[in-house]
Amino acid sequence: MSLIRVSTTLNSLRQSSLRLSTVISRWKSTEAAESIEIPNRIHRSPTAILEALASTVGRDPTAPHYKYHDDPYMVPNSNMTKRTYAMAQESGRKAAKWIKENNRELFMHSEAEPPIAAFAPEMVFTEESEVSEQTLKDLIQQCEITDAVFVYNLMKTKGIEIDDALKQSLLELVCFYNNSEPISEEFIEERWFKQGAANRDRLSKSWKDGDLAEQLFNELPKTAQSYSALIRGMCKYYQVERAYALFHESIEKQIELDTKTFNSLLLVSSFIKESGEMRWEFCVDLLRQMKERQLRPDIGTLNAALKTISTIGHHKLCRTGAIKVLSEFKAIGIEPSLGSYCYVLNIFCREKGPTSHVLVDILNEIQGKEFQIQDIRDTSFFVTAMEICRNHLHDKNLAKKLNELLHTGKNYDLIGDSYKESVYYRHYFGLLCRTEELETFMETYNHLVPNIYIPEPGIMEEILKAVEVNGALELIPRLWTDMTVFEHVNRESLVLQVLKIMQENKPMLNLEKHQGLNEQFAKIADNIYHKIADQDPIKVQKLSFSGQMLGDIISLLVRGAENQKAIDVFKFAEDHQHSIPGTPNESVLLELVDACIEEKSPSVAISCLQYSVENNMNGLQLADKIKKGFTLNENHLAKVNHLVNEK
Amino acid sequence: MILSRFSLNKGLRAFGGFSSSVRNVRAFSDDKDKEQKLNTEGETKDNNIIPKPGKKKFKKAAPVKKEGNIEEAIEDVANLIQQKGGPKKEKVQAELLSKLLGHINATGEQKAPEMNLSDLISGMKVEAEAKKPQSFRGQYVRKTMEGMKKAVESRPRYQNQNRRDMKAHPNTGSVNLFGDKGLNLFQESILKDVPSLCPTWDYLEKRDLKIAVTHPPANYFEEMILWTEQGKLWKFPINNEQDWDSEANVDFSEHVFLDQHLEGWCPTKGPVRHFMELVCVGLSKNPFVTAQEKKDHILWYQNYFEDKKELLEKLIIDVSESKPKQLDC
Repeated sequence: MSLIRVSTTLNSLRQSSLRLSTVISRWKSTEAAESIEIPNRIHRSPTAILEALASTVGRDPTAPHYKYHDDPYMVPNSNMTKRTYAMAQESGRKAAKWIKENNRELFMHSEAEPPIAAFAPEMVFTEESEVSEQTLKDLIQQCEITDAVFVYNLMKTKGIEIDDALKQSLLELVCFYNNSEPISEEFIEERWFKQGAANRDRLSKSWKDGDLAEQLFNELPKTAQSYSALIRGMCKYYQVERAYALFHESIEKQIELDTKTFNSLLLVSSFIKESGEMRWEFCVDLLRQMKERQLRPDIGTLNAALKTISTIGHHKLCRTGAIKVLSEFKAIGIEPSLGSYCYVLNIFCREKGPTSHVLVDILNEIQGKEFQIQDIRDTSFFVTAMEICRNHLHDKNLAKKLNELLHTGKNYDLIGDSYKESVYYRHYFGLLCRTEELETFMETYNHLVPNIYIPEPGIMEEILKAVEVNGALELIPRLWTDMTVFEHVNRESLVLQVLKIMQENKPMLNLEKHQGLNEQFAKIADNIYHKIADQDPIKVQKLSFSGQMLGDIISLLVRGAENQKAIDVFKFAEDHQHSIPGTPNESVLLELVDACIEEKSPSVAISCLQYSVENNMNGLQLADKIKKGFTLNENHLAKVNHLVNEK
Repeated sequence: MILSRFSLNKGLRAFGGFSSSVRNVRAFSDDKDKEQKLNTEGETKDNNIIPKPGKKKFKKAAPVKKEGNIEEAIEDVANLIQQKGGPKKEKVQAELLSKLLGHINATGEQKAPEMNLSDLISGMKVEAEAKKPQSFRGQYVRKTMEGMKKAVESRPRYQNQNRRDMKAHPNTGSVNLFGDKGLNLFQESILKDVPSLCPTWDYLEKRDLKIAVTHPPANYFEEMILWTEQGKLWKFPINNEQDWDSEANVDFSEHVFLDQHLEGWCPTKGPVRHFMELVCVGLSKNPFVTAQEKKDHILWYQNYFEDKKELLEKLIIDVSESKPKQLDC
């Protein structure tokens, strides 16, 4: 596909050069005063050409992700392996970095001129290091907060003068990261798998009171800049009371704060005010103060206001409030970002509230648009919206529209991380599985599984249900293969479900697509039997047999003409009947006796009868069958009669 | 809206399955020695679940089987149990009722939130399979067993509650997101653009946002972009003077035309001139040293010749006396 696109680009280039030459020739011939406007040079970034090339490469669902080794043995098949392989690579990178840092002397040579900083070991600062303002400036630029703080302290002890602008810059850095090292930018893979877990425990106060930030603030003159930085930092790490106190202090001192500082206060207004109405009033009041200072609000203001509104419990108040705020910002030319829409969804679609179709309106508004990230919340939009499609609206068409939006332009970047991505697809699959025709659903399944998404056990259960309802038994072998590959076969509920579907729904042999299913089902049953019987005894979470399960296995084996195997399984059940809860159904035993008749093994048939009698079943039918099916010798006959009469 | 043939069929299937379960219930209520019959019934059930699309029998059957009919069927079955009796009469009755009423609930429940018929029908199928109604069934049966009165009471209350909710929030339909007057706070005209007070903070914030959308590269080009940004690759367009910041503002002429540095001290002719011109040519072709270094190199020779001036003059005279012709060349 990319080749075609490149060649069309080349073609169009050729055409335009042709056009140019005709223009020139016409100009020459007529010598008219047609002027040619030479366009100005467009300055492109160093990566522009790479971006253009990358945009021609689509996601190939038949291939594993680019990050995995291009080797059949290294292709991950389950969610576990996907994560493990990627993290293995990442830890390789980390190990290399560790070696580089711990054996600095081996890497001091510089092959390249000028030297490439990324390949050199990092600078290590000690008490003796030569430091200057420039060093500190560079460290702040690189977000090396620990080093920056060390250098700052070193400069202080050495008595090197630091000007206030640089101190302010350091204050901002310390406030932004709360004086703790952020996750390295370098380890993209780790972040991709980690963020979902890391983002959850953020809502408590984590600001370091009395730490470096406040010391810096006290050293600096009390300007709007230092107030802004400290208020922003305190709001970010939920030291709300002191941030609010500082805000009042700055107002008293008539210090003019800026938009972003107001935004950060708006963001935490739900911590400042208790009740919903008070929050709303506080929010409006802050906006009014911004207006009085003639501050231009930005997208952050809108999102902060919407976030506050989304914490209000009162349905009506928050709905009208949200629409008011959206309209207000639209009027001054601030378009909502995806994050804003995410808050709107939170406001309108509450779990126990009435159904709202606001997502329809949102999608109508943003269909086909490409988004850039403007707010960290933007990455939550797609997963939230898909969840609403599934649980709130049950609307597959809407879900498809949303999916289309996700695949518009570079919107896929806003999916968030691996956790959000898999939740997104989980909801998408769950919804399609319930609402789509099974055939159409399977098309999507074939398209996305396993390279883009691997269904979790819960979704697999839904798919199996849909298969059963639609009687599409021919899909069972395929799904079982997938489940084996995805490592779902340790889930007892799934194994039971597969067995139940296979046992209760007999393939219709007059249908072409059901041909040979009995044999395949028998194979699956045999597979399940061996999986459970041959489990590693050391394993902690083991699957265990139940009578029902064994019954299903026996009946499937009999139907698949694997009589001997069925008899083996029955013997197993008989041997372990005290450790296995429940018994196979009587109808299964009848089927087994039929198999015994076919195999001409009366002794098994009689032990079958014995088993049924011992387990309080009515053995009459079995006995009848045995008597009719075999010509029994006296011993056997006596035993049968004995067993039946005992009852 | 989209009442396709498929979705209709699906609905019919759901009904088909249901009718068979009614029949199955009858079989179940019979004595246990009629198990042979049960088996055959079970088989017909399987057949019913997967009807061939377009079988007329089902098209006819489906619309008749509305709720009223279902209730009749329930009564029918209940009567049957009444007649047959049996030791676990009550339990069987409860199970049957739960099974059947569960279906009714599942179908009834679906109607409210769904939008169109196809969704309704497909939703019905799923609900009938889902676990959730099970608990509902259990509740319902318990209520039935305790007495119908309570069940009747609880149902309208539930509905009332719903109605109250609906009244409180009337705009459940289309939402005009920007259809309000707003708060009448900001006016475009009076707003002024104030530069941010914390440039470092804003830089860090931007960096964080960029990191949030930097995902593992999906192809080689993206990986190259990443490496370019990390400074590990040549930037496009390729420039082999990349990162030579010290030489960025030095013109090529200063590298190539070095004769200017000879003026003022070097003789216009003679061996020293000859030598120095060779030095200049050599240096002008050397890409590995900076212009300043080249200049310094030449000036070093200036000092050198300055120091050795007397010696040189003597030597040149000596040579010119012995071989005057050679020098002239």
